[in-house]
Amino acid sequence: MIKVRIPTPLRPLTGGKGEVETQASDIQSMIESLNGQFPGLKDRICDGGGEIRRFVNIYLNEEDIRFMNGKTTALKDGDEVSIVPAIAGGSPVKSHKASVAHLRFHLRFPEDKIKEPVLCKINREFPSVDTNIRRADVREKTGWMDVEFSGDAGDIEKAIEGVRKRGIIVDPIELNVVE
Amino acid sequence: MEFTESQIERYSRHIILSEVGGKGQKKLAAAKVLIIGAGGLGSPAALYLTAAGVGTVGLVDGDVVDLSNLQRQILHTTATIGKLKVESGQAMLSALNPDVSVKIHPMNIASDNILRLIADYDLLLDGSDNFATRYLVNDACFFAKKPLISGSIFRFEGQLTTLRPNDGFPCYRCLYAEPPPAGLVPNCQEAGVLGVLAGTIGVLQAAEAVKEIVDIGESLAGSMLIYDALEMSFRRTRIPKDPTCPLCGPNPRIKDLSADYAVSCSL
Repeated sequence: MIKVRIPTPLRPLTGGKGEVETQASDIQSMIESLNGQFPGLKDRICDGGGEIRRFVNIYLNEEDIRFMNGKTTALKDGDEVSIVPAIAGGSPVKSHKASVAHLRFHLRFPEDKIKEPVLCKINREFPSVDTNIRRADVREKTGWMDVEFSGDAGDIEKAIEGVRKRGIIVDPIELNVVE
Repeated sequence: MEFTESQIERYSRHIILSEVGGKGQKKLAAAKVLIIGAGGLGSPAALYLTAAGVGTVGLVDGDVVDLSNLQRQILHTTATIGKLKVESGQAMLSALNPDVSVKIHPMNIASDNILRLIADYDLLLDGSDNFATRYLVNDACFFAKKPLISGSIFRFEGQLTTLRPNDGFPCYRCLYAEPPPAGLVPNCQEAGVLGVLAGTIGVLQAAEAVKEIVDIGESLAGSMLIYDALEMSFRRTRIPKDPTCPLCGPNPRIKDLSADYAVSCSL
């Protein structure tokens, strides 16, 4: 078994657990195996191309895998792996450039919110922000969707705040580009 | 310089430590430390460095005190809500130790003012709460050859390291090659932060600062300390110098501060 330390920002995906166990022969397979247990974890650790994000470090015992064999660094029974993202401690970066941002968020609908037309209301309340559902799975009692929000970054932030206020659980997925 | 009777008494618990002694206390009195951000991390760090008798403590912050700051930013009080944080902090620090010269810089740091600002100091503490400032401070300290003690906090977790890239140790870019894109990491307002955590990490920054100044013990340069308040666990990882680092590596791409930092960084 490999012990994996989950950092605070990713704990919503592991049900709050700070340490999880998995079977894996290397870092790559560990990420896949964790993603099987905790869907969405891989997206937070890796970018669209499957590479480990540049602001996330993975340590095998005390060593940074970037200076070992990267994703192919071998794991053995009893190893401890830590996932450590950069943290700054506070406010979002203020950008002075007026630009269109495309931000993707994973929205999870609790059972009591599943019937509410949340996105429709958000569109009406924040007309400067476009929403585009990229993936979704909505069932009788549970539902999630990956939604791309496009517009001014500040407006997107306000729209996301509006989604959260309606009781939806929102996790950022990835930021694409600034056009 | 010679200490007065009352200074000898004030610093007596330091002076009787053989590792510090009168010699170490004089190093502290001669030291000039700039604290970036008079907030959650800067508050406890500034209080302990002032109490320790650091000769000059600089505070840089362009913000004013808000009621929601007081859960962790212990330089400020209910009575100073609405005042500039640096002024509120200066009053508190001067009351604690009038020996210390408290310099205030009520401004947001940016790439066109930071080098001038840090030139008068010999050690920096980064307590900023955003990545643009963190990378800017890292780069400026590298160019100005100033050691930097970096602390950061998020929810229940803190990170601490000492950056001395000019002495063969890594810089912040060796540790994290790139900042997360805006929007990917929730901010403290959304995510929250345990108030005491700011104290823990800020005080550890002060401890590392005192060690660097007095030149005792083992520096945290080349390592990162990760603190988990919920588990009450400390872990330490090794940070090698990155041979491909765009700032302090052998083939640097970043040669000045003209890189794409946010124009003005909020603290």
